[in-house]
This record gives sequence, C-alpha cells and structure tokens, in this order.
Amino acid sequence: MPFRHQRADGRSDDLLLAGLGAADPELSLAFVRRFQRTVFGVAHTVLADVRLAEDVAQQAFERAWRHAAMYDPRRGSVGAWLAGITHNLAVDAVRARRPTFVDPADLDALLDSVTRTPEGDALATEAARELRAAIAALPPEQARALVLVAYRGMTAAQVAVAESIPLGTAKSRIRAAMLRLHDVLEPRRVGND
Amino acid sequence: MTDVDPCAAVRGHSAELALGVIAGRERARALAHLDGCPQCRAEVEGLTRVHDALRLLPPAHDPPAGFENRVLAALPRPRRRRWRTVLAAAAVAAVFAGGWVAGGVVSRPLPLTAAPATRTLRVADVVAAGHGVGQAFVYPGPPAWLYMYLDLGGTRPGGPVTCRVVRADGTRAVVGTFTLTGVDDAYWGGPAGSADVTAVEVTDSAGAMIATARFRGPGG
Repeated sequence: MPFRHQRADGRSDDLLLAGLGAADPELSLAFVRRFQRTVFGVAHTVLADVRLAEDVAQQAFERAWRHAAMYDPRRGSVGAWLAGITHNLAVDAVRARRPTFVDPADLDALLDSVTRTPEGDALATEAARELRAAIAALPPEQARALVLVAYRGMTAAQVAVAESIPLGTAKSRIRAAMLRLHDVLEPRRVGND
Repeated sequence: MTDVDPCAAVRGHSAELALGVIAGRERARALAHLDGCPQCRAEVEGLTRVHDALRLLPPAHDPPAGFENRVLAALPRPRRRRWRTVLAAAAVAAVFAGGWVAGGVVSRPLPLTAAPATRTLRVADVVAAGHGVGQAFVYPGPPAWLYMYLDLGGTRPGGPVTCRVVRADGTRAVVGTFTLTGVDDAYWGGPAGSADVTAVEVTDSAGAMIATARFRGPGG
C-alpha cells in the first residue's frame, strides 16, 4: 500500500519521526503532540505514578529522537514502536523500584486498564478490543500472572512468590494465558500484514 | 545422557522468552535451539506478537500540564539539516525493509533561500507508470525540506537512481542519488533548497523517468 500511515493533517507518522530525528522544531512539536497521550498512557499504566511516568515518558521521546534511524517500518507503526520503547523503559523503572511487591488494589487497577476499552476510544482497533476481551475472559489467576509479567516485568519466579504458588504453576499460568491470547490474535493478523 | 525433548524444554519457556523475562543460561539455551528449530521459532514469534499487542493496550492518558515543553526543551537544538542526516535514517530503515539504500549523497548542499510566504505543508502523489506509488511532501521551513516515500512493489531491478526537484522557474536541481537494491518500500528526506518546488522526479542511471510527483498550490 503506497499511502501508508496517512493522517488527516497530511503529515504521516513517518514524516514526523523523520522531522524529530532531524531536530526540526515544528515537526518535533507535532510528533510530541501526536504521541504524548499514548506514551504517557503506557508509562502511567505500568508505573501507576504520575511523576515517575512523566520521567519515563520524557526519556521515551529522547530515545525516539536518538534512535529515529533505527525505526523499521516493516515491523509496525511508529506508534507501536514508540509504545514499545516506552514500555521497556517503564518496566525497567518498575523493576528497579519494587521488583516483587504487588498491591492488590494496584493489580486490580492494572487489570481494569488493559481489559476495558476507554470510553470514546473510536480509534481502538477490533484486534485490541478482542484482546482486551480475551484477557478479561481468562481465569483470574492466569490474568494476574499475565499482567504481572507483561506490565510489571516480573519473572515466573517472582510471580510464584507474589502469588504464593509453586514455580511450575506460575510458569503454566503464564504460558496458558499467552497461548490463549495467541489463539485470539492470529486469525486477526492474517490479511492485515 | 538425558532423554529430555529439546522442543518440549524450550516450549516450556516460550511465553517467558517472548515476554522478555527469561535470562542467563536458560535464555542462551533456548535461543540456540530456536536457531535450528523452525517450529519452536514460529511459536516464540507468535507469542512475541502477542507481547507486542499487549504493549499497545494501555489507554491513552493526558500528561501533566507543560509536558510537551519539557520534552522539547530536553531535545537537541535545531541543527542545519543535511541530506545525510535523514538519509542515514532512510538507509537503515531501508536495509531492514529490504528496499532502497540511500547512498552517494550529492556533495554540494543546495543553497537556502528566503522563507516562503506560506508555511503550509504541501503534498503530492508520487506516480509511476500511471499508478500512485507514494507521496511527496514539501515543508516550507525555513529551511525548506523535502520528504517522500514510494513503494514500487519490487518492479524494478537494483541500480542507482537520482532524485531532482523542479522549481517554479523550470530549473531542476539534484537533491540526492541513491542505490536501489531491489525491493519496494523507501523513504527519504532532506533540504529542498527552496520551497518553490513544483515537482519531484526520480530517474534511473540512464536518465529514464521512474516516478514523478507534481505539486499544486504555492509555487506549483
């Protein structure tokens, strides 16, 4: 498809990223404005701390500027690339802060944020809706294990400690959850590449 | 001597591997196995796509007031843009994408001219053999800046190509030369010299036209 990543304002995501990499003031501002809610949302979901999330979100934009040349359009959209950068930074930060501590209320909020489609989010893809529904439909113990690994960066051993379960059980729950989500996602992927 | 099935052992870790939470000896062992086992590699790749999708689920959230100003203040100061600045990005992206590689950049920078009257970004379709294959943008700056992408769908063999801008007075200026390595998708950008660009032309080494983009609006 030649007309990729087109936006209503005529500036593609690629264009803004190229402008950021070239330190163009106007395109850099447009890039930050376009993606700041996404970046901050990822950081805030993982960290559940506004100040820390802002630090991480800021680092994410700095890293995007530094590594703009490494963006590979074949592997996904600019937004997905940036969300990945932010997620990695946020997980590193949360691991450093409290590697195994899990506040039950915090875990409930985390599960809610990744299973509920935000009101008015007309841009949410069908695949994202289905993925959220699939997480919500997982057995609760599998869903907890999944989000602790995916959004808190915990290892299976840390999940075992946090959930007071044997290591083998933790590994089984993580694997079962991921395979279930894979079954939901893969039909969606066919035809979208 | 053990009878452990190596595929079963790796698949026991595949979800953690995809989620990036397995390290050390287990990770090294698993990666060594994946190198020679397409079935296990396919499973890990599938689960990695799940992880990628999970990273997109967090809801968007407004940052605190003043966030964008703090981000921009931390970024480097604007610098004089050269083709190679953005071509470096294009080259790396193109290598990954298996498409164009930007190289052989024109050595003389184009002269910069006064700021144009309008600051509207102009867009034109890139056309090859009567078909739309991409888009070109002229950003008025200052300095004026050209960005374009095109997807030739693997219809051309490799070889050098030249990108020229056509100005309102009919003159042409080479903005860059590139090497086509074989397959489809490419994008690049850099100084346009001035904003009065009416068209962009991409030609092969024999001078034959490969693709053009014609702008409407100011200067075009």
